Amino acid sequence: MRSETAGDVVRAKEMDETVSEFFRRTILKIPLTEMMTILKTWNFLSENQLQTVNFRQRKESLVQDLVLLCEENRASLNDAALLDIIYTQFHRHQKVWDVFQMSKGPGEDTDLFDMEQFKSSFKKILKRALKNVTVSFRDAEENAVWIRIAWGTQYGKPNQYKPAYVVYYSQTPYAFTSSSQLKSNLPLLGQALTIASKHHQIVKMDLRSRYLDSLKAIVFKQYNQTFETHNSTTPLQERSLGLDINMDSRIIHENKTEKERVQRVTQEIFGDYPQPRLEFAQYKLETKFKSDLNGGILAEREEPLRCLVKFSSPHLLEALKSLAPAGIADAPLSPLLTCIPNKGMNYFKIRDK
Amino acid sequence: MSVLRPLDKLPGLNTATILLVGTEDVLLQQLAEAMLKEDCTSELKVHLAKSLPLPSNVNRPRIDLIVFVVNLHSKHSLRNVEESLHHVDAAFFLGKVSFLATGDRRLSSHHGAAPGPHAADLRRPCAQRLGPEPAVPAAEL
Repeated sequence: MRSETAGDVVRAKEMDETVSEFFRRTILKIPLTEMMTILKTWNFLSENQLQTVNFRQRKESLVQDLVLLCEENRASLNDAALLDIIYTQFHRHQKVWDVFQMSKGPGEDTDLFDMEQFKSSFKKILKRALKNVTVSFRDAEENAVWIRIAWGTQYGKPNQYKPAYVVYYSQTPYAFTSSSQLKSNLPLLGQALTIASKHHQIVKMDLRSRYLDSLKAIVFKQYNQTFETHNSTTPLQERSLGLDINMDSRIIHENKTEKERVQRVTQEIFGDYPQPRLEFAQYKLETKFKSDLNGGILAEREEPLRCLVKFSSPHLLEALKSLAPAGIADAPLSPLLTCIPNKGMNYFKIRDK
Repeated sequence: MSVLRPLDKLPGLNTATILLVGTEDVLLQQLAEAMLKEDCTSELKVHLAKSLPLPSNVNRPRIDLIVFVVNLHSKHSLRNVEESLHHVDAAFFLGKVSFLATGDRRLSSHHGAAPGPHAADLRRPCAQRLGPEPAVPAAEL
C-alpha cells in the first residue's frame, strides 16, 4: 500500500504502523498451540518463511518475528482482517451469536444467488452510509460466507478491535451475527444484509447462544439425527441417560414401571441424539395476579406483575433432559422448556391471553 | 393405608434387606452400590423406591432397615420423605430407620450459574449426616 507522492509516503507509513499494531495484537491473541495451524490456514506467509521462525521462543519475540515477516510481505489491512476472521472461526465460542431470519416479498423471484455480487453490494451499502468502515469476507463451506465489519464514523477511522461478524448461509434466509458492542450499527447491518441478498425483510429471532454450530443445527433442523455409529448396538435403555440397567441383581427397583415410563417419555421428547448446546433459556412473565382467595391487595392490582426467570447451564438441553430421570422433576416436562429447539427460541415472553 | 411393619414377615435365612427411599434415583443407586461393596455377614439386598407406599402386588422380603434420603437442595425431596413417613409403622423407628441428608458439597460456580441469594445460601450448607436414630416418638407420626 505504498503511495507515490512524498506527502502520501508519511501517511502510508502511519497507516502501516496501525496495521502492524493490528497484526501484533491479532497474532498475540493466538494460543501457541494453535499458532502453526492458524498461520497455515491463513496461508499468507510461505512455508519457507515459517521455517525461518523459531516457534519455541518466548511468545512476545515470536510475535515480533511474525509481524516483521508480515511487513516484509507488505501485508495489508485486509490481510490482517482475514487473519482476525480465521482466529474468530477457531474461537467462535468467545462471541455470543444472534440469529436473523430474512424473507422475500410476496411475488419476488428467487434469483440465482451470486456470491460476488452479494459481497460487492454489501460492501457498497455500508461504505455509502459510513465512509469509514472495513469490510472483509472469507468463504466457508455450505455456501456460507464470514463477514467481518470494523465500524468507523464519518470522521473517525474504523475501530479494528471491536468488529462485528456475520455468518450468512446464502442458500438459506438465515444469518448469524456476533453481538457487537457497537449496537447502533445493527440496523445498518441488517439493511445491508437484506438488500445485498435480495431479500425484503429481516427479523431478529429470539435465539441466542455462544455455540454457533448448535444455533445452526437448531435453525436448519439438523439436530434430530440419530447417529448410527457405535451407539446403535447398545439397547435403548442402556444408552439413555447413563442409567446402567446391567447392574447388580442385589439392587431391586421398586418403581420399575414408573422409571421405564419416565425413560420412555423423556426419549420421546428429547430423542436419542445429543442435544444442541445452549447456555440459557429466559422467560419474561407479564401476567396479572391470579388467586383462589377472594380479594387481597394483589388481586386488585391492575398492572400486571413482571418477573424474569432464567435457566442457566453449561449445556441447558442436556440438563433438562436429565431432570426427570434424575427424579428432580416430573415427566413430561413443561412444554415451555421442551419446545426450545423445535421453536428455535430461547427467549420467551409470556403474557395473559 | 398400607403400612410397613418391621415384624410382619419371617426373616430370610442369612439375608438382610435395606430399603432406600428418595426422589433422586441416581443418588439411591450410588448409595446402594457403595453399600454392596462393603463386607456384610448376611447376604445383602437393597431395594430402591421413590416413595412409600410400595407397590402392593409384589412379593418382597422383610425389610430390616429403611433409609430416607433427603436432598438439601430440594424441598420436593423433603416433602416426599415426610409423606412417606405416614406409611411406616411406629415400631420401625426403634432402630430400623435412618435419615440421610445429601448435598453438603459446594455448588460449583461455573459460567452461567444462576446468581441470587438462594444459590448463595446453598454454597454454605450446615447440615450433617444423621445416623440411625430411634429419636422419633410414636406420637409425632
